[in-house]
Amino acid sequence: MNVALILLIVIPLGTAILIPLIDIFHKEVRKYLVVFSAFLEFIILLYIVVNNFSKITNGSIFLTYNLGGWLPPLGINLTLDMLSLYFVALISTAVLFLVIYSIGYIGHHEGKYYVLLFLMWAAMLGIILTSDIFNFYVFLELVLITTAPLIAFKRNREGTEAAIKYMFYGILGGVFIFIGIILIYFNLGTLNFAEISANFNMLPLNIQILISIFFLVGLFIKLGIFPFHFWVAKAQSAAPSPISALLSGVVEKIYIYAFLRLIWNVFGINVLQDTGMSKIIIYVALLSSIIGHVLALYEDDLKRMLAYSTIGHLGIIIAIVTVNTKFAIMAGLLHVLSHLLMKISLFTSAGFLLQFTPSHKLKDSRGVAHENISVFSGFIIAAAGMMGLPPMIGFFSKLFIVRSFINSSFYFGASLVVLGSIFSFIYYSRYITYGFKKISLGSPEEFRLILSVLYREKVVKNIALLFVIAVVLSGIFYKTVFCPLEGVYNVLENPSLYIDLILGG
Amino acid sequence: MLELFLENFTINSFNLIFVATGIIITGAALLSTRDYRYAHRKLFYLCNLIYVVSFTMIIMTNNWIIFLIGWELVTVTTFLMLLWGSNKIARIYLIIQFIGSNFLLYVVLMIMNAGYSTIGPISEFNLQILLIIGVGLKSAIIGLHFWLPIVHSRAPSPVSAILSGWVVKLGFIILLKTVTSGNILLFYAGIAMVIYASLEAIFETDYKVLLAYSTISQLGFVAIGIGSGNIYAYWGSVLHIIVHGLAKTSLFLSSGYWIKKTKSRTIYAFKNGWFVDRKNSILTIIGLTVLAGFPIFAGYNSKYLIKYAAGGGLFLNYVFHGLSILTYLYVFRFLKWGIFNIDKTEKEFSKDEVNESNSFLSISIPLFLIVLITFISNSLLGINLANYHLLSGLFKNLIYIVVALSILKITDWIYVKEKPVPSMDIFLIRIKNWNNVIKGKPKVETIEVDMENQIYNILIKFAKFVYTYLPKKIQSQLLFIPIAILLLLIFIL
Repeated sequence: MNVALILLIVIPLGTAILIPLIDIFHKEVRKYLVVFSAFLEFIILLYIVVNNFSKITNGSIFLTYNLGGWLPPLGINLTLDMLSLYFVALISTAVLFLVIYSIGYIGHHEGKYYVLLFLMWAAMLGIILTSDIFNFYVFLELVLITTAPLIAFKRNREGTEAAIKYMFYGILGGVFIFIGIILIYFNLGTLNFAEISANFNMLPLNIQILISIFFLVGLFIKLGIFPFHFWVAKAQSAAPSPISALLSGVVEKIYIYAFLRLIWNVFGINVLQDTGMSKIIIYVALLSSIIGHVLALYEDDLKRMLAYSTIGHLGIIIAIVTVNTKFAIMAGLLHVLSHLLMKISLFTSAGFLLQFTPSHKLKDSRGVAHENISVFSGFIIAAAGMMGLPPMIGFFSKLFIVRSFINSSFYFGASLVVLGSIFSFIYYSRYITYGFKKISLGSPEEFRLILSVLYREKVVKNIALLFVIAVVLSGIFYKTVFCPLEGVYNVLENPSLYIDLILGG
Repeated sequence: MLELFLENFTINSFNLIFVATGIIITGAALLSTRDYRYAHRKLFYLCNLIYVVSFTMIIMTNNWIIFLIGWELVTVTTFLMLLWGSNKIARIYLIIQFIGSNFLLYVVLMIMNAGYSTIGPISEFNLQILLIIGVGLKSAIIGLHFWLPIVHSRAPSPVSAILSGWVVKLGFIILLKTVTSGNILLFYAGIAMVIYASLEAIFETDYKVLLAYSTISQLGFVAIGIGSGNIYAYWGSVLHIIVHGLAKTSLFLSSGYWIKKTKSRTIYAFKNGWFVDRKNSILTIIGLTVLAGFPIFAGYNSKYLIKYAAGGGLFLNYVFHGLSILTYLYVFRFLKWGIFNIDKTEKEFSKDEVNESNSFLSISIPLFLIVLITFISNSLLGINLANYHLLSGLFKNLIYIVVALSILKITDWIYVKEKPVPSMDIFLIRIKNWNNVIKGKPKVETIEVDMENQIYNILIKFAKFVYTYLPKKIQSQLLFIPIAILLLLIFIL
């Protein structure tokens, strides 16, 4: 029993409930409360890490919390192992800084914004920590219904349309996952991850395949893998920048966590490999990746371009993880981190830079580099990381991904990754060259003087630069990030260990 | 920390000489930049510092990954240096180099996969070929050289000295470590490079383009030495990398001062050079003599060793004599039309505010080192291979000179009308015209879009094709879900 685990979920949930109450008394207190509880969350994470540091270095950390004191097969319980810890650490740290960024960025209806943001945070942590499949589904849908209003937060036609589309796709994905859960419950009579995992092999093969297909399709719709990618660009471009960063950098990573946990620890990767389904997943993911990059080439809207690039990178992550060698999984997990850092820094700095332009179009961004050179160079550094230039972390994750593709003689995948990075070079350089173009103030249609409308400009700028610094620093010290991933791999490769720890403990 | 360093880096005289040469070249170029107006000079120095660190990584390391990191860093830092010249050229350079380094990444990982965990001799012919193509874009192996005259001639002179003097050599340094027992394809590619680039240089009127083509032709000699697998030729390549790097640096730096004085880049504008700027003329002549391989300069030593590559083959021996004559041809043609084109009626060079306080030092330091290397070349390489037969070499070179001069005399010193500075557009016009000839359309003279836009257009057309054939309505988008499930089920069950 470890109380820290439940606190990880309760603190954001409690904050979400507290914010409207605080608003009644004094609205200025709200922002202090928000930052305080975000920091509190971070401190609890640190507490867990420091307390179990030796176990983390072994890769043998395992914490549980039984809700209501009911033991695993009957009650819901929260568990934290290396895989969960990796994702909890990524998400909590990223959201902490995005909350601070939002304080500078969001100038209106802040109360509603933070309620939804903290509910979403609680739901994301719930997905990662729970080991009950129905609870997992509930949190998955909670993420959906809290992000949809955030996407429509600008209250314009575009945002509403995007949110409805996002909702539509999300619910459809959820339905597939729900059917999968029903099938599991009918056939096995249990909802606990460990018990499902222990008994999944006893099911007839066609039922196993059917269940995994339903889960895969559900997750792919939520991830936005081709051919279910249609909602991604709309949702991520219509949302305010911190929410775009959250959607692209953090929420998508939750689904990757779900993919890893369900396929490896619950269903077992053998089902996919024996039936040849893993090959199909790899090819679908690679196709999705290249289509994402190609569509990004065509886009003339900065945020849509970044969103399509997200599709490209998620496809690569799914493909490399499904290759299922030790090095491949570790490379995929490293790319989760690197994509998170780079995409968030791109979206946050884009959020700052777009304040100076009349629209999101690339052509309108002429001369934006001269408005604020430091943030623009931050954007360039993060984009260089996306292309895979050293010493940014993107270089190392790209290197390891190509290497593990080649190691398992998957030359097609390796060439697609390389091609994708060349494509991304082209579309980022297009924006950057537009940014450096000088606008002549003489001609009337070129004339514009847009002042920043940001609420607190300094905070926004500094957080954007902070993420860029993180991209560079994590690249220089990539080994400190990469080596602990071996523990994560061990969790994924030994589902029996996971079963023993939950049911036996 | 020290252990980690020693694990991944090899320190031997071979590597240290290369690093020292690179640093001297960068230093000479930086000394010369003090005579130019540079904005943000400190940033430029910082770029150079990172560049020095990264090429040191490439040369010293025995770890493929560190090599790749260094390679990418060299690309980025040289791109940043080019930004002090023209943005467009820098962008073209970065695009081409980025594609090349991505291919190299792919190749290196394949080599690592084949079991070569550290940088060392590679025995598989296929992997050697892949590596040669991989480094080819940066090192301008023939076929992949098309960008070099454009970028090196348009860059600011100190930057072209760095690019032409050292950056192109880095690929050959890695080939020296990996292709130790020769590669027949590299050997013939080298001969083709010398012939092609010398011919281009002979008919060139722009001095910096001439020097850029001369770089390709001299790299051809290095490729011959590595590709032959002959031990003498191999060490000749090592020497030639150093000597040519120093000589080309000095020549490009002096070209900067010529251009500043004459306000023109064509060789015909250097009329009366001998009378007007005696110092620069002498240094330029020495640099060109080193390139041509005249005895008593180290250029002779390296070419002497490389000529062992011919082995006993009579035909190859004659080919090698021909290659030397080709070099003399473009050297003498430049001297005739440039420095020694004496015309007393012409006005003198403009003397207004040309700052050349560092010119003598920056141009002559590399040349001084070459003279030094001439006498210590055996002890520099740490081997005692040959005694270079200076007298017979002198005799041979005199014959080359006589042949070259008589060819030039017969052809009236090959006068060519002034050509435009090469750019990517010329390639595009050529490609467009081939296409038009096939289609039966008339040829075009000019093309409006540049290379970059052309590539974008092709890619964006492809992207538009994908974009238009994806469904727009949500009903048809949602149809993908049942289709995908059905396909999966049919495929598996």
